[in-house]
Amino acid sequence: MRILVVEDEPVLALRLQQTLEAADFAVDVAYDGEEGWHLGDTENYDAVVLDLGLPKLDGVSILRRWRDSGRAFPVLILTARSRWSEKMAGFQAGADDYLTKPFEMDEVVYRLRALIRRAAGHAQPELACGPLRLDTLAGRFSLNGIPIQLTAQEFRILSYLMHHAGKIVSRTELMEHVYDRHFDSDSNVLEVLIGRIRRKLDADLIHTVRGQGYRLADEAAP
Amino acid sequence: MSENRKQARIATSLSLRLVAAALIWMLFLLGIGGAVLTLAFRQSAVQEFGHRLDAVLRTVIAAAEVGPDGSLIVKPSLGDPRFEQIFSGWYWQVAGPSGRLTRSRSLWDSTLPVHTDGDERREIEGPKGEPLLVVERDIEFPGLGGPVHMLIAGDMRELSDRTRSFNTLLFATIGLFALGMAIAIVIQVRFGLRPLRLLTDRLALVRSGKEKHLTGVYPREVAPLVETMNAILDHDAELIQRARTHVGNLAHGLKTPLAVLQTELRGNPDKAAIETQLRRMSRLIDHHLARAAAMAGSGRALGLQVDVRSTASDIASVLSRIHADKRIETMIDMDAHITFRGSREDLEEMLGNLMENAWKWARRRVLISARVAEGNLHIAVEDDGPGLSEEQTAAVMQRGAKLDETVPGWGLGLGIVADIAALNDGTIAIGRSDLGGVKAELSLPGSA
Repeated sequence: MRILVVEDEPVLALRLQQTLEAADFAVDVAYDGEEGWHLGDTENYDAVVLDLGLPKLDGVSILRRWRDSGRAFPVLILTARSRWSEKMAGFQAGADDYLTKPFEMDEVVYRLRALIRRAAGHAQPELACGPLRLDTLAGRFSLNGIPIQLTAQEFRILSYLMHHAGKIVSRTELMEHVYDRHFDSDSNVLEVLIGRIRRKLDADLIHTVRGQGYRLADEAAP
Repeated sequence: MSENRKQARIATSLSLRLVAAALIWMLFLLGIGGAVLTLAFRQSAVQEFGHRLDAVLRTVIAAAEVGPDGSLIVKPSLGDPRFEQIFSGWYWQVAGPSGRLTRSRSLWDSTLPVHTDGDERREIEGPKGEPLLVVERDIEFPGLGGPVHMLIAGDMRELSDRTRSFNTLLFATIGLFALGMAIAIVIQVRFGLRPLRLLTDRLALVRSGKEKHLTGVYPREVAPLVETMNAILDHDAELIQRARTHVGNLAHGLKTPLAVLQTELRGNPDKAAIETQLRRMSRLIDHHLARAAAMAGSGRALGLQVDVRSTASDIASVLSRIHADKRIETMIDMDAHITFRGSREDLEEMLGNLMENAWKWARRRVLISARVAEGNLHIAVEDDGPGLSEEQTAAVMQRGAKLDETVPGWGLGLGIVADIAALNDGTIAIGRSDLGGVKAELSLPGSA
């Protein structure tokens, strides 16, 4: 799962990045409005954390531009102001949730997990695919009730497949949502990782669809 | 450019506008009056001149007689030397039935054109180009066997002298009259606009801080302006007062944790203790900043009306999006035409805070209702959550009190709502809802 953080205050941006990476997200950070808008417009993110008071281009304008050009990812806005009229402006521009500064870092993680889950069309906090379960609140996988140990990259891959269970996910799509933009993508690495996850799952859940990509489903054959 | 400046000057001065409008109208009327009088005078002068010529004509008729040879003889002298003087402007001319022409000596060998269709007066040009008034008539003399056409002409230049002197007198009078009127208009305008000048002076006193209000008695037309202005001044004074209170409270509130931090730093710093103090400071800033920001533009929306139903449903859709997992069933029970008299921001702030609390505490349902009773607007936000005990209700209405530290915003939100309601001359009451949870009811004045 890949997140864009648009925040001009460097200390806060760094803390957000550390917190989100610790929660197994791939994170890109933009420090001003124009850079933030450009990244959101050209890269594929699963969710965006957007500060409203930004240099060069303010948050509400960025949000409006993204929505006008059809970018549908969920957006969590951060604001130092707590007036309702300001929140309303943010929501009318297309925000999905907000946090008022100062906030607890964990709160950002919880909110983002819920936003990503809802954006993928899941109403319940726990996602299931046969014996495999993902607790989106805690960010943990379990197989038949036993927790699975996954690396950050493995977690992102399985989490993305879990959110889009039953659908075919192409290699490119998977790479785009698993690595931040500084990562040199190599599909061999992806195949190695998928292989590792398959071994950890100890069940035939991730299916390779020849020439198209992968599909997570609890059935014998695709 | 200078045209623009002139327009700007006329547009910016009420007295100038009034005086200019009155003067233009007055000069227009006086001009018409003068023209009418001149015309009337000339007409009556011409009439009178005609009568004189008539009289002369009758003398000519009386002086004419039929000679023994059957011809008409007019005695050469009429006792007026001007008929003898050549081209004097005074002429007579008699044409017999046979066409024989007798004329005054003054006419010499010229002839005046004759109109035979009845006796009338007309104006023609004389032999020297002088303007003449002509009176002519057909007369029957016994023994002549036909009518004799008699004509008499007088020089009208004599009239022009008289009209000119009349006009001079007339325009001198009109000029004096206009001057008098202009002075009267200026005095009248200055007198009429005196309350405005008074208002300007009093306003200057308010601006310089010597007065808090606009004082004095003003005419009916200006009084509402003064009342509104005073209301705004009062409102601003109240805002400033509240802002000062908040700044003061904030400063005092911050001093205690600062003192704790200072002592903590001198000894062995305890991380937990520092964190507690930082949280405390952050909460204080949150509280005062939010209330100050909420109040900054509140309550001064004159003549604004906001649709309560659409505002409530906008906020409900935002909250439903934020708390999508809770799947709260929202009921908005109010007529579509109910409006709040005030600014949209104020209504959004009050409803937003109340509804946000309701969403936090509700299990399944939130009810927002509004009704108008005795000219007051009552908006109620209810939830089916755990509700509040009487002590909790009392505590929650206290300044800055926080009911539940893990669910931020209860006390702070209510405090803000209470502040904004007060700035709009309204109140808020907390009670128990029939749904089982909390019922927060706003009462706001002057709504329809």
